Amino acid sequence: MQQQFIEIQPLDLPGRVARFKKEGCRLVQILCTRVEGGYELTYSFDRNYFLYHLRLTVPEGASVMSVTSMFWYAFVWENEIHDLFGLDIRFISEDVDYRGHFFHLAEKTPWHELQNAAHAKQAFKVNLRGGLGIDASAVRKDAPAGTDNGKGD
Amino acid sequence: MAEITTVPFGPQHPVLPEPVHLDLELKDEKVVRAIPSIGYVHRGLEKLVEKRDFKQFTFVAERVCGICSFGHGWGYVKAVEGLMGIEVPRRASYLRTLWHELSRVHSHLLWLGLAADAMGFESLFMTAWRLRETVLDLFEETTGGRVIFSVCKVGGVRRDLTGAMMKEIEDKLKGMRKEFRAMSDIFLHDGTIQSRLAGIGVLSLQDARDFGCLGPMARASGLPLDYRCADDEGAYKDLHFRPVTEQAGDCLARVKVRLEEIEQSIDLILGCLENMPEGPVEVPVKGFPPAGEYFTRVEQPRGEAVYYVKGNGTKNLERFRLRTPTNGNLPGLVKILQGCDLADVPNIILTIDPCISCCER
Repeated sequence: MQQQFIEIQPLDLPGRVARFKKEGCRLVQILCTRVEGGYELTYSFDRNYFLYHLRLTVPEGASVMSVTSMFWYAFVWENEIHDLFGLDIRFISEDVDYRGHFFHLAEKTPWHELQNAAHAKQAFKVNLRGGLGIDASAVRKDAPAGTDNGKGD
Repeated sequence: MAEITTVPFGPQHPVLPEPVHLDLELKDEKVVRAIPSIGYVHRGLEKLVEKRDFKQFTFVAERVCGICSFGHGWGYVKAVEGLMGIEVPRRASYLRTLWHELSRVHSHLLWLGLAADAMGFESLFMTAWRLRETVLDLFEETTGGRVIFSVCKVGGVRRDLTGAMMKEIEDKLKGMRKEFRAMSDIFLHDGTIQSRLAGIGVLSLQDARDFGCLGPMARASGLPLDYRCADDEGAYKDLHFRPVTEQAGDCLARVKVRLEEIEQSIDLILGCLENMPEGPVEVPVKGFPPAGEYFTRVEQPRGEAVYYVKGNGTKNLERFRLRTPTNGNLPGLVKILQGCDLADVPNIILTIDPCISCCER
């Protein structure tokens, strides 16, 4: 399939997206992947069935600008990334910013924070067992939190 | 001035085959705003790619959805083949195209039945689903499965068609076509259907572009967006494929597009049978997917689906991602629900042919 990857910095995103919009391209999808120390985002645009992918890496704890002011329908993907991955996406159009409530899941999200919390709990237990010879659950019953979506409601 | 009333629609509703929730803000009987939310059937299938090897995951990809199952399997193996640089035999490409187009016929017939049922036209619903049975029988005879076939594999397909099977597909489709045309006439000319669908839920060409609509929803508004035009793996180029479009953009236009696409798919299948190349149906696959990534697309019955795979040189892929057509059509649905009557909401939602299990994966 014909496609091209373009590496950009997070700050350049709005300008590059605006250029694609001006050229009449269609936003096809936004992909988020967890990488060491942050997130890798890919914004795919289509023109005459040729795909252009804008690729950027967002460090842990940083945020990225929403593109809903240019492609309103991106709210589906941006809210999904926010809800499931926990990436802070700023300035999603007011009418479609779900603030962590787009996906009605039985389990709490974002996933990686839960995984981190589970790992931290396990490490805490191991340290205490090895160092003090007691069960961590007797010392601290509640697991480290980390299940809020960031924005709250 | 009337007050705004919020009416919850779904996730459980008689007209919805799958759960999606909409908050409908109403002023009297008119919808002012519709706010969708999803997540009731999210299964985290993409994450399973880390636990299953790249060949096993084909079976998981097929289970993303029961209706476009074959297309998802094809999209996934196509992405892995792209990553590994595998070229599948031409006969396998033709067979994939044939089964994919049969899936489109089955999907559209299923949808036409659901649409008739939503309008209370029970006999038409049964006619559509009876015709669909013919296609399901063909699936069973050629692949062994009626809904999920598992014939697609990395490197080709698992089964070949014999001459007798090809003859049977041709005969059954030609026989079905007569009955299908009789049913089409009812959809196109019956007064009840006209009054429920014509001029309802209109989406203009500009709106179809602005709201990122895909598949029959976009084509019913005159946007000729169909990935089969650019597909270089299937048999579409050989068969001179051209997308079906309508201009009205209303619910009836979306029905017309699907009716015409069934006819077109039957032609494509007959074309595949006529021009079926001789040769093997698979190539051996050695090693694991290399480190790298690959995007590919497949035109599903509901529109374009995007498949992404990322390999790391081991038997497990690092990431699989699927962007489904319903994912792209939800914003368009929000647009066409604005200003419609509450009584038309079920029909309008159905005409985008939402597939929520695809959408949530």
